[in-house]
Amino acid sequence: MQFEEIYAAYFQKIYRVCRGYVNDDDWAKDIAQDTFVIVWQQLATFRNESAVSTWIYRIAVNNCLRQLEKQKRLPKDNFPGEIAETAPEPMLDNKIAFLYQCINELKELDRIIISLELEDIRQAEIATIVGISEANVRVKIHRIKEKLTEKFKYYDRD
Amino acid sequence: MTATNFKDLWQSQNAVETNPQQIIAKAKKLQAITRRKIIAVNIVLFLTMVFIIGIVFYYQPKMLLTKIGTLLVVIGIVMHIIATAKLIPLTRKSDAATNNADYLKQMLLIKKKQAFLNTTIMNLYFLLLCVGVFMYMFEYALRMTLSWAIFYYAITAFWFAFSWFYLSKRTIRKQQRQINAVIENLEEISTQFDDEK
Repeated sequence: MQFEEIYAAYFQKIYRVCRGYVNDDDWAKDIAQDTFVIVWQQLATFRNESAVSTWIYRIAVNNCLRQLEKQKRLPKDNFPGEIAETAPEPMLDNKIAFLYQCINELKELDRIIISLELEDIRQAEIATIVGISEANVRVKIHRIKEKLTEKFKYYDRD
Repeated sequence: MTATNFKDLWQSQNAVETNPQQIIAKAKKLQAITRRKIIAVNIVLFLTMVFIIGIVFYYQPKMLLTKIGTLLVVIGIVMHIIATAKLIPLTRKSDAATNNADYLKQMLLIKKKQAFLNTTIMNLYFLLLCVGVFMYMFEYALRMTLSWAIFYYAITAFWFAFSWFYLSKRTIRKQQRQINAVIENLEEISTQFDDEK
């Protein structure tokens, strides 16, 4: 597979997974771009031991986990309110924004798992990407979906 | 709302795409920067070695104490270089495409090594450097008048005390706080990867 093909096929998916993790448009774009920088660098050594999708999602999620180091340097809360509001963020559908917000309230691993699940990735593949058992993935997805449904019940009512 | 609706909602969100050529350009630039950094570090190390060996040959110290002092300084520098260098293969080996649980473990290991480097190795490095320089100075101080020798030692002692208690302790403390915060977060996330009870 050529880099351009991979990029065209996966950029949006990777962006969404990153967005699910950090819930910030620019930040998610940065992580997605960094992911493709690594993909470009390592494409030559990629030996098809796993599916391309597994490979790319692993890199993307690992990149998300690494944000921990940067988070400390750039606490998001320190930005004054006005700047955050005037930043040119594309208008999000309220419902999508709410979904992202709900996901952002979850723990790190849950954020990752639900983002991958919502990208329609099989549970067996999620288990391989993340490195936990398939049974564990199933339990977690079930619990997260319950939580989300519960939150959306109130949202739909208002 | 059903699960399919969550998926539809999720997948309806798209970002403005950048040109893939821009990504390639960024990747190439990063590669060039890394290569330049490696070359620069090697040049600095080489020059340091040349400088130290040069001093020993040029001044031809007569006393054993001076030689031991020089040796201690060299050991300190070499120890620091080795400790730092040991981190490099770890970072390089941490394959960007391993599964997330293993990647977290690897990150945790690197951070803990960094914390060790930052405290134990730095303390030892400074101690060796300090003792080494004081021993090295002795032979040259003997050739001075007593008051000059005292002045000479006082200035050096003051400089070491200043850089140790003020500069390095403060930097180390600050870095250590950051590393510890990262380690704490990593450990917290790691527990999430344990099996559900």
